[in-house]
Amino acid sequence: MRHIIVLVFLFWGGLVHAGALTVEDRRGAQRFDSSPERIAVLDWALAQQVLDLDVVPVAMPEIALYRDWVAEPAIPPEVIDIGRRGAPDLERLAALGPDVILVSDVAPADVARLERIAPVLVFDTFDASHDNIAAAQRIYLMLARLFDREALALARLDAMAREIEHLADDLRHRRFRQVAIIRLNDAATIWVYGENSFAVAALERLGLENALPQPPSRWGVAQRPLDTLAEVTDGALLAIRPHGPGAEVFDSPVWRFLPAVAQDRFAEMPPLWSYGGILTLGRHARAISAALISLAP
Amino acid sequence: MTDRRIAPRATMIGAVFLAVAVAHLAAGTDLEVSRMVALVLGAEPGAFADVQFTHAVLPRLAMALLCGAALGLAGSLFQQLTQNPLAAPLTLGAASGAWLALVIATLLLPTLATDRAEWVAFAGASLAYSLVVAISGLRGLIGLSAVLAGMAVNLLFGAIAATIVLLQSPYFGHLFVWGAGDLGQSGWDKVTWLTPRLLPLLVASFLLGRGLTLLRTGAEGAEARGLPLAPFLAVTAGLALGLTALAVAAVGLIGFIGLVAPNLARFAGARRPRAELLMSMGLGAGLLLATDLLAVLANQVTRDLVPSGAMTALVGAPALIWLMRRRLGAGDQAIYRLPPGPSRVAFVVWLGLAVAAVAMTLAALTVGRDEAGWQAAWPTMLTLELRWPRVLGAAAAGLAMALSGVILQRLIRNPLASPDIMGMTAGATFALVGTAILGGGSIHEAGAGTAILGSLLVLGLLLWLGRRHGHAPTVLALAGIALAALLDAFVKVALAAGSEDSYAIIGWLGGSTYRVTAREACQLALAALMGLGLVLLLRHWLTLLSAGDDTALARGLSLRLARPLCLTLAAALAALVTAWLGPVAFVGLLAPHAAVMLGGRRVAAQALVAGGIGAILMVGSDWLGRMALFPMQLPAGSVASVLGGGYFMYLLMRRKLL
Repeated sequence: MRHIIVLVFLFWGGLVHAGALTVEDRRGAQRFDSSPERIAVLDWALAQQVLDLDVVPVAMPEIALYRDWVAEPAIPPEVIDIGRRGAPDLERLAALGPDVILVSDVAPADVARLERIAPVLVFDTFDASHDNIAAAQRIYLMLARLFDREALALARLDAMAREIEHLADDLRHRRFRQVAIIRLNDAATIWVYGENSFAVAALERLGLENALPQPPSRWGVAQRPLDTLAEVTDGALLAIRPHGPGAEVFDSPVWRFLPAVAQDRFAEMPPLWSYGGILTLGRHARAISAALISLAP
Repeated sequence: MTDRRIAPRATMIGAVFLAVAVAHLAAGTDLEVSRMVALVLGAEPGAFADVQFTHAVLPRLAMALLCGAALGLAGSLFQQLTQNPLAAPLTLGAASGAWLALVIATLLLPTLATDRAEWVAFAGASLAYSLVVAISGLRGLIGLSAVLAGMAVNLLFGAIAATIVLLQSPYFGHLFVWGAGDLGQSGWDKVTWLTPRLLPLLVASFLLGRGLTLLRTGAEGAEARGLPLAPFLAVTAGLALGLTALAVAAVGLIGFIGLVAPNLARFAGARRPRAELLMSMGLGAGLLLATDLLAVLANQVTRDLVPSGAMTALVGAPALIWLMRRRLGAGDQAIYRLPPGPSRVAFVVWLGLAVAAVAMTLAALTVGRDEAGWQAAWPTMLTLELRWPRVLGAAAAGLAMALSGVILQRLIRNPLASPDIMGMTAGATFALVGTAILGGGSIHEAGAGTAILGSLLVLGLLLWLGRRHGHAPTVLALAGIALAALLDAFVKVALAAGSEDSYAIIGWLGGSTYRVTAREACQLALAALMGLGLVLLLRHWLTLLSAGDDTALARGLSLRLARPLCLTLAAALAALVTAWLGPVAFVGLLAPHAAVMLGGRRVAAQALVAGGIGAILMVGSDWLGRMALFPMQLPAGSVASVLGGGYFMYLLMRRKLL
């Protein structure tokens, strides 16, 4: 239903500005004469959104680290690395002559400087005061409109919704109704996903409950002492890889005696970027469901 | 072995700590007392609550006692070795040396970092300590210089570690908690690792008692009575460094315990070396246990983990300020001894500076890199627009920090004083990080106003803390160092969350011209030039202030007016730079020093030469930061720190420092 409203809205928008494109960003309506071809993306969440529209950016930051941590969707080799996420090389960016620069998390003065290079779209991706998942969906549709790929975007969102529904149906008959999703940090601390995170949003759409609720925050994640996990009394416990030095925890007595671990309610999930674009919701749902099925075939 | 008088006090302290230990146990578990006793006596754990008690609560208690004892003893050894009540693993750079070594090892040789953590940490701690000894000189160890040098080494090592973390971001998430220092345990592994390594060092420390007693009579006296001085000093320092390294390798950076415990021990009446060692060890263990109790309690109500180190800083820094306020006056009659150098600035030097400034500016504007390699060409309009605010911002920041350093070194009468070491950039950092965390937003959007407010807060605190003593140099320096250490500990706690924000904060901490706009660069340049004008106007004040209280008073200078005013000027310059670039370390320390060595002995000449050096250094660092790891951009402040550290080592090799 929501998609149809969006679609109607998009058509209406298209009629009003026949010929030109108008996209909403943080500052309001931004006009483009045509769909931009050369796209520069300055953070990973937006890069994932763009790649999920089958659009290949000309430039994005820290590609090597992206391959380790975000992994999906894969980055074609021709994309140029423009350095750190927090401080991309503007001269290199300018030399690439982009048609549009997509950014988040920047001060107004930075936007003004980027605008000297190319038109800029600023998005509020992650914020404690809004719903990160709704924001990601809004941004995805905005970008789809910018790249003239609304049909693809809606089809992907629809496919994702249907897939999640299907997974939820399957999980309904299985053992676990409560699930906690974590990342391991070191031998005594972990991160727990809570409100405003993709992991917990995916749980909810799968019809599951978060076994370790955390108040909403900017990134939807809280760092806690290991023994917090004892509160997962009869739910499943899922940890996102890579564990890094957090793997030390597997050898510790406290870990082995955690109710969830001792009773074989623990499983691992493949690398997932929890701070990505909207389709990452589906990636989480898929990984959660696979992990739960491995625990309760 | 112990003084008889202090026995009742020791008993009382022991009783308090027993109560703390019981509270620590009770806070960590919901078990009944009878069950706890049964488990300690060997009952088979059943439910998870039992295992949590036996394998998380108990080892945490043991770890607090062991690390507290190690840090307290290390602090006492350092203090007795240097006869300096401010010496400690934290203030002498040893802790941050151990930390940097472990960060580097984690990056380059991960297996070494986990299998031989104690040796890696020991190597780092020893390197940092040697650097501090070399900078302040053996004689300087007894005074403020050692602590100033230690804080400088902390800044340098911190900058290098932060840069490494920044470039490898998500891989270092776990280091953040460790950087803040946390005692959380999930088994007895670490305790059983630590105990056999720690015990020999604890025992060996008490064999030093006689030597330490002899040392109190002075180096010559001790040698005359048959103490082999050099080996003894080396062994003592080695033990203190070993204890520090073990604590850092086991639980991370926990500050203040080693500083506060020995001072408290003396306050409680420990006089003889061995009594002081023993009491410092006990008090260290008790203090860490007590502050960790606060962390355990805080963890039950906060969203994110509260690392133990946060609480030791919260309790330790005020304790430090209180302790140092009790023993004031000493050393305040000192006058500012300039480092050696020619008596005036030669024409060649002026010419050299001018040529270097022009050349560096041209290079920064015209030489760049792209996919094809190095390019030297007059930049296009757009490239120029991207480059000049950075170049101007860097130059202005260098000038302002150098001036701030010139003022502070004369005000504090110590050639190692500088705005970053004295907390003037920490206030801004704290305000920005705090706003970003409380507001749930990004540090990049918090704004310059917040940063300036934070710096003003630190300035206000310094003025308030120093008012009773007429803003005497030692008071200001110590209050500044204590505030800097406290605020730094808070920032480390904010970083501990290890989220994407942590990397944004680390990037900002490097001090970068990246976000300086054209307008801000011009404002900063104007402010720096006004600062230069004011320093030149106030040069007689500064000359008199550095000549000692008596001279200044005899010449009719109102110290109560001149000191706060000069302090405010120094703080304002540092605050502006920090607001727009982030903290820029080392320039304020290095530039005035180098200026003297080039002949800038009078205030006006020192300010001009230091300002020029500061500007050139920052423009050069900014350019290098943009080029070195292209397309990764390194913050100018971090590059300047590394270059500054290099400069000091060069001076050491030539033995011309102080």
